Amino acid sequence: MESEEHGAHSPEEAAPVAYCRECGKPLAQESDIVVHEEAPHCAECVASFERQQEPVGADHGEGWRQGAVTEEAFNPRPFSEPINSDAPNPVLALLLGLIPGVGAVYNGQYAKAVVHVLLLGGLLGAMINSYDGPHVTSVFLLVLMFFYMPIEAFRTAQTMRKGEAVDEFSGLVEKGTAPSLTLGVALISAGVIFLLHTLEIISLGEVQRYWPVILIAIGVRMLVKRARSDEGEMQYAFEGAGPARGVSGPLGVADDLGQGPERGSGEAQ
Amino acid sequence: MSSEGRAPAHELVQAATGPVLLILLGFLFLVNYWGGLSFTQSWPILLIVFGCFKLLERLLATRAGVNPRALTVTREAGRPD
Repeated sequence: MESEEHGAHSPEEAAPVAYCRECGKPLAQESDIVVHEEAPHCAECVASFERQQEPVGADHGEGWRQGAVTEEAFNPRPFSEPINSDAPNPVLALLLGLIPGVGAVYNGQYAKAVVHVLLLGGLLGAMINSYDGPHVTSVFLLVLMFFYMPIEAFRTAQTMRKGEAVDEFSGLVEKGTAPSLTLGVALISAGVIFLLHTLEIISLGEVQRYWPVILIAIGVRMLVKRARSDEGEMQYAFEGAGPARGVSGPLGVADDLGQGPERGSGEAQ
Repeated sequence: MSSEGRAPAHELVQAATGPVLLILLGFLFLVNYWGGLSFTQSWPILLIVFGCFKLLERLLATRAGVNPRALTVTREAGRPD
């Protein structure tokens, strides 16, 4: 974006206005720039993105809904023709993701690996240090982590395979989307509860008795989401129940698990 | 519309989150060192501030027209200039 402005300063003599973020091709004029995910791209690259996105994306026209589900729609990008064959193997990433941090390292996301390890270490520490045995909450969160990490690693690897750029904290922060409301609310309420606890105004032991509220909240959230997806983009029908779902709430991550083609088409019927 | 010149507000907020949290972390350690609130007591403040930043980002992003439920859908692809 800066380079666009920069071009204005330099002399007219064919200095490129910007470079394609994907292939690095210089773009001579403003009109050559196609903005894709907030970055300048050349027309060819964006066209190829669109071709990739076509079967998976949510923006299907009428034909999609009226049962025009071709075989290609079910298998839009078989792994046999990865665009980026150097990308990590999703299945291996899933398995390695069970070991804290290793899945992320395998995907080359070292900062995320550190975050995972710290989170897990914190949870384990909280479990071990509590006076009256491990809290239900910390066990619950620990289990969630072990669902979240492999799934996240799998999804990241899959995205990389499609040849899309994945930045370091993808999954923690999703580019081009607004962070979920749940994320903010969950963070703030967790913060308030812990603060009240450390200031010894209330004790976690008391709060902990209300832990099933989390289950209720997750249930309500799933209901709302599915009710909404009936009108809108239909992505959530086959999301598994149980702990793995909860991960998507507080961490705002696994929400688009249902993005896969089978899920999407299943829902469309 | 948003790519004219500077980044949209919600991206600025997103970019500021990390540094602000780091500064706050340093500040909390300082307070701990000065003998005020010990860090073992004050750390949830970080969570609260992070949550506030996320909510603010969401507010600005939805106002800027970013689909809150957008997944990896390319939004502006092929937009003529």
